Amino acid sequence: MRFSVGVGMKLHPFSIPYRSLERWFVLSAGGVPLGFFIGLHGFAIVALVVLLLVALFAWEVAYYRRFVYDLAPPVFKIKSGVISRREREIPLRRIQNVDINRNLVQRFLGLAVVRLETAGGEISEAHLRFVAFPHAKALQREIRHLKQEGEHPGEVPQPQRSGEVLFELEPIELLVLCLASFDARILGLIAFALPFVAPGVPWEWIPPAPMGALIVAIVAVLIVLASWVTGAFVTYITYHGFRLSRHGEDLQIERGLLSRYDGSVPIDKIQTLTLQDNPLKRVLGYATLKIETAGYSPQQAASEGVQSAVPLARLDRVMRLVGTLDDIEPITLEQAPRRARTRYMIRYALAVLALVGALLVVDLAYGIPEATGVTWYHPAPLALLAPLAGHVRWKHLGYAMQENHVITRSGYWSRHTKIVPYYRIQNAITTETILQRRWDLANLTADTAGSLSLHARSASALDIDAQTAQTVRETIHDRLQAALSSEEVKDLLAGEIGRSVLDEMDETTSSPGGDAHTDP
Amino acid sequence: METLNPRIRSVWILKSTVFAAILGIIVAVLVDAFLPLQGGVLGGVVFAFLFLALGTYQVFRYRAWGFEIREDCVYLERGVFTRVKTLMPFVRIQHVDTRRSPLDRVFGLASVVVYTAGSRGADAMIPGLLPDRATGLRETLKGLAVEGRAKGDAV
Repeated sequence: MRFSVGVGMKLHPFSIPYRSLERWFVLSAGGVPLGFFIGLHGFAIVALVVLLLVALFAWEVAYYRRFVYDLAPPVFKIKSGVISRREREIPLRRIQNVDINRNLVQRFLGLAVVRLETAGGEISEAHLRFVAFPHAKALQREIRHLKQEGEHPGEVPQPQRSGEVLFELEPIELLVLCLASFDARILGLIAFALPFVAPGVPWEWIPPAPMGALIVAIVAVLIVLASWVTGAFVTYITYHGFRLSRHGEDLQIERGLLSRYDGSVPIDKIQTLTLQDNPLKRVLGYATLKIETAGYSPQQAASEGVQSAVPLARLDRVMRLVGTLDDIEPITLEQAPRRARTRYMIRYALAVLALVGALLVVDLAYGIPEATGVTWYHPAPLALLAPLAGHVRWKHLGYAMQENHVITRSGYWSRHTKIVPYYRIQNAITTETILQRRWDLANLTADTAGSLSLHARSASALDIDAQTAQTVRETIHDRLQAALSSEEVKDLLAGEIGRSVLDEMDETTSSPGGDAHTDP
Repeated sequence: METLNPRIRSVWILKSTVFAAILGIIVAVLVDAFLPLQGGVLGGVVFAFLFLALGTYQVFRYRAWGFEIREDCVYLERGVFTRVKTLMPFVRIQHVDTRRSPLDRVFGLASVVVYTAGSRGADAMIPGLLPDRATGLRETLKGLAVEGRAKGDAV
């Protein structure tokens, strides 16, 4: 193989000019206007900019020369650092995701960014900028192979270049997805630019009332249209060519028209599968599937979006995909008790009452101006909607205890159906607020080590009978224990048993005095 | 069900008292400075109210707390307004800390913190234990976690 992976690997030589130019552009873009601002001579600025480029280039050469990485089973080793040196070893077994990203320029140059993720940690554990794309693919394949061999020695066939395709985004699905996308960044940009642009607008040219209003309306429509078109365009180039395939024990996701993303997720590290839909998607029969692993930190998940997700597909196709990932039974959910519905109806009616009350207080204290056309009792008819809202909220709540999974559902506007295998559950928690206790209701949470949990809701069965919640909590725990001692799961987790984990336990707990642990 | 050492209740009430006192003093000073009212009286009222409310809360908080080391998990129960009951399987325990804050040391108490990889894992702090009990608990949990690991991994 031309791009062999092994010991003493270097970054691609193109990294030097790419990295130095990249930083040079950023620094110059800020520095040059600053130079003019403080009154530097033009020649001085040119000289400084050239000097900066030379310095950055020299730095990047040093960085390149220092940066060495080895794929030396059982670890991935990186030696780096110009001034302060760093050597890092990542156990291959611990690597969760291997992501390859390429933007348009990088694709043209044949470069790729490789990132390795393990569970936990604030940032990527390894960030290779840049390596040749075929080399990146070879690295991804080799890491996968070595990991699987470490877990089942002698059983794993040589890695193949192409896996079994599980899912491809159909053109019609991509079209629907694009049409449903809306990029709010344009609105943000306008809000940001308005104070600077507003004084320059020839306001006196704008005719009075009816015509003026029309112009404002047209501008508003144009802005919304632009946001929509941008959203559709961004979505199109992001999800074009979306493909999810299976290579042995890994899922591979590829997508993107201009920038290509190519990530791998180990199937046995999947924590939760989440089906997400909204009223429109439900009517049209579409859904989104999110695949949660413990690899990404919440910060990354927030800034980069969920990489491992099927953005939109027909429900039957999503369900078939879920079926191939995991052996779930058809989903039939237990409804929350009827008194939960009564509680929601009362809650929503009380919310309307609170609004009316607040308006009344404002009216009595300050007097609501006539011009607004609002009287304090105006929102009152909203209370008529409370029974409907309560019913809808209740209707979309549910949970199920299947043989191998617990499933929970909640939400109307954005409905989440979460599928959690018992053997992935970390804690089983019941909570009863003071108000729930009056109704003898409780929430049950099956907490996993998912990385998105700070943003997304964890799998919770809301407002179920308090007694049932206690029973279910114990049942979940029992099934977790049963699942962990079952042969199948033992096999699944085989790579992590005994050796490493026990060693780590000894290491972390044998520190003298026991008080040596610092806060995380 | 094991309860916490009653001394932790005193620690909590002491903390509440200090908090109420600080707030009372702030109110007194601000009112004296900016309003034509008796700052001292108002501050005293604020202090008395907070002291009673928070003190009562701490008594109930103490009563609500309980934990149990079961056959294969730790069971925790706590919360006055929102009652929370957690089952933490030993298999999932990442590591266990014992902690002693300065106030803990004055009262001869310690806490045990149990970490799991769950998103709410760090919640599991058992306060108000005698130091020996805390160390013992840490050792027990460590042992059980290692034993549990033979069954599966932590993530």
